[in-house]
Amino acid sequence: MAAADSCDGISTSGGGWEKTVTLVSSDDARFEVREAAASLSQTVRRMIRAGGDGGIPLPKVDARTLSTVLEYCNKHAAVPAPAPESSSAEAAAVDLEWFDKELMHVDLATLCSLIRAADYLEVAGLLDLTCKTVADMIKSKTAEEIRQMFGIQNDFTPEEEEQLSRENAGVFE
Amino acid sequence: MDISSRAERMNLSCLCNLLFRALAKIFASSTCSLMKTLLQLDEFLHPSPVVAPTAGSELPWLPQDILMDIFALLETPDLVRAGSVCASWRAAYTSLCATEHCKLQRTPCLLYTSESMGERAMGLYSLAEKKAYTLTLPDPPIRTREVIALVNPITGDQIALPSVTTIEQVEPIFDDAGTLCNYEYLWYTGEDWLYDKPSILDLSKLRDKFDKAFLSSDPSTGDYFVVLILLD
Repeated sequence: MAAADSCDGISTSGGGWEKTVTLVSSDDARFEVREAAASLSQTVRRMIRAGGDGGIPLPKVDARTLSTVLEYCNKHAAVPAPAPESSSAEAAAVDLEWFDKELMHVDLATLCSLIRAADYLEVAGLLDLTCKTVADMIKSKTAEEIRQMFGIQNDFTPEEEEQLSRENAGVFE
Repeated sequence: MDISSRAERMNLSCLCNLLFRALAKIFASSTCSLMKTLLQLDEFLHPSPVVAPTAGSELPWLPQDILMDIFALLETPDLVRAGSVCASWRAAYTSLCATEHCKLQRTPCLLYTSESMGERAMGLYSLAEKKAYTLTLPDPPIRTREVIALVNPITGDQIALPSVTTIEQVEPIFDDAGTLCNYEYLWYTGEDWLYDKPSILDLSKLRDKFDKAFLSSDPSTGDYFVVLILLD
């Protein structure tokens, strides 16, 4: 009964037949996703091409993170490419921007998990989005404020501290 | 007087023309590279990254290449602050500065001096933040120095430029006491002699002969070339 390759499902969506693939998270949760959406991940796209039984294993991504990544992929793959500069293109762009903004309303730990997942899965758009979000959070913060935000210990040796103070780094605090 | 004002002009023009373009590249001083290597070695020996969470904790952590992606989006003052957070972030900052000089997209900063700041300080105005910072510069003071060097105003790193006498057409002239006083300039183009007799020039006049200079890498590495544009 098992399909010959990873493209193991056919389902109806929007009145048409669409190919789906099954992705398996590190904690063994299975997600059935449209192939068009899953292919936003270059990693998954390569694995689809390579074929295989019983779904595509993604051992570096847990179910919670993967579901958010797939939310992003579903949304971004669903948008058809309308004629540029048409009013519908503009509306679609505004809608996507709003969606992206909402998706980034998460705590820092979740955000970092998303970045690592987007990096591993090679979802370029999501990686850009999450990196930009972290960069905006770092902006205008002192080194100490950033340490507190990330729970990072100041682990510089006294020699490194001295080098930093010699290098004008403190001027920017 | 002429020499020092010319020297100052050359220094400032060097700073304006070259410094910020070269800034990222110069960031990576040899000490930084060494530090980076040591950190990488440390990561190799102790595989868990410095910011990595212990099992079960929810601490957010990011690998080096992603930190570099994030830092690449920061403006200069934010970037310097991020580079002072911890050793792991410092390593990402140093790697970024060493590799990204081709794709600088940062808002430029304005570098300036003023008498009220004193000789060893320089102002840096961040257009992005609309904020001014005062940087301490390395010795000798920029206003009075005659030796041209590339200075990274943030790290204070300096790259000494090769002596003018390394140019084929320039010979030093020493006085009786053995002090360098003037330069002999040979009008030799590599193929022809423009004039048979060499000219005797002081440093400022000699500098007037050169319009622009391009340096392929830090001369202290020993492996470099210089391209000079000469004025007639």
